[in-house]
Amino acid sequence: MHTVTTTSPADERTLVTQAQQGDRNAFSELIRIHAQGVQRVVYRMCGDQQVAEDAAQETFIQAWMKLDSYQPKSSLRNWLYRIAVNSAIDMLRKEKRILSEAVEEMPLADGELGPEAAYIHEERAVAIHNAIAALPDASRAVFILREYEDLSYREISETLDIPLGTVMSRLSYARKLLKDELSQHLEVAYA
Amino acid sequence: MPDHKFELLNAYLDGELNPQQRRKFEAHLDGCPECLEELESLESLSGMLAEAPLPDFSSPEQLAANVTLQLPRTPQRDAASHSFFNRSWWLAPAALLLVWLVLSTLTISGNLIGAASEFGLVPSLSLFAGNAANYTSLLGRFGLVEPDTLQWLVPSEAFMRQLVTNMVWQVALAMLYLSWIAIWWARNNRPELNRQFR
Repeated sequence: MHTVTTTSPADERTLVTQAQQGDRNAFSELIRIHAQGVQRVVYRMCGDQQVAEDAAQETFIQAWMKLDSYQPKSSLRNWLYRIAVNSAIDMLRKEKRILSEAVEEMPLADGELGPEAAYIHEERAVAIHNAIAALPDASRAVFILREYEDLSYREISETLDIPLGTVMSRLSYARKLLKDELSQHLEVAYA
Repeated sequence: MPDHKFELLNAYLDGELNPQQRRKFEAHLDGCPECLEELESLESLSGMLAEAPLPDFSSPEQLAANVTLQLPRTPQRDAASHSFFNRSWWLAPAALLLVWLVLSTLTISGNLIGAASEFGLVPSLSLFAGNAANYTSLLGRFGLVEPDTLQWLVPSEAFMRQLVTNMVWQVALAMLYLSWIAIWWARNNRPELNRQFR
């Protein structure tokens, strides 16, 4: 588990200003602060670790190039998430949607589980992975930002630049698809 | 049987309802087993999805190091061009003002010389008066216009020609100046457009 870097909003604003003036060290510090969030988002979007690593790097390179268009009144994290979602979608297009083929590279279950429990756990993890992978890109982005990054509907709306109603409908649609797809596992796990 | 409120389930689950909506929805849940069942199923789904594992990514330090090595020099180069742009930015209205001054001077001089020529103060200069009223002169030559009418028609045509010419270049300069103001505004108020100008 990596240590989570905490920085006050004022410090972050200072780092952003310095980075906008071309200070690479300041930008490097911003990467350290937001690395884990961006890695999580791109991994959930791509479903493959290597592609996610590339997409995370691409996210920060894009952020560096677009840094002068960033307005400090909005959240840097959410601004980066927007770039991350787009980078992940671009990467998936380039990689011909390897998302559904990356199952064998999924992280292994906790070693403390017994063989049968580990098998069930892995089987469920694969099912979740495949169900998320099968979501349309637009719904998947909304779902990941809500379910895994805990963004509010308004934050998702601002991050993805879509109306609040669209956030709600995409989220509802994603959950319905996932519930249908995972119904069998849900019955076993929560019977 | 109460109306189902499935559309509110997600907002309730995500804590997006205000206190009043929340209380109302909870009252509805008490009397609607279908909505309650749907809510429990969504909660189960959420719990199950939380189990989805994450791989061990490269550390933030490693990611920062990898990215820093690949960073193009864009912001610094942009900053340099930006400062040059800022330094030379005032040249645009200054150049427009200079053009306006030169053209105004030429026009006023031309008018003065033309007027002096009319009153015989200077010899007639073809540059200013030679073909000032070609069309009306032509009409007079073919007898299509009476000599009395021609007397005021010829200077009128010359006047209109000068007026139109003056208006055209003044409007052109005004349009350029307005464009400069629009770009200046966009540069300062719309960062995303600003990037396009660079």
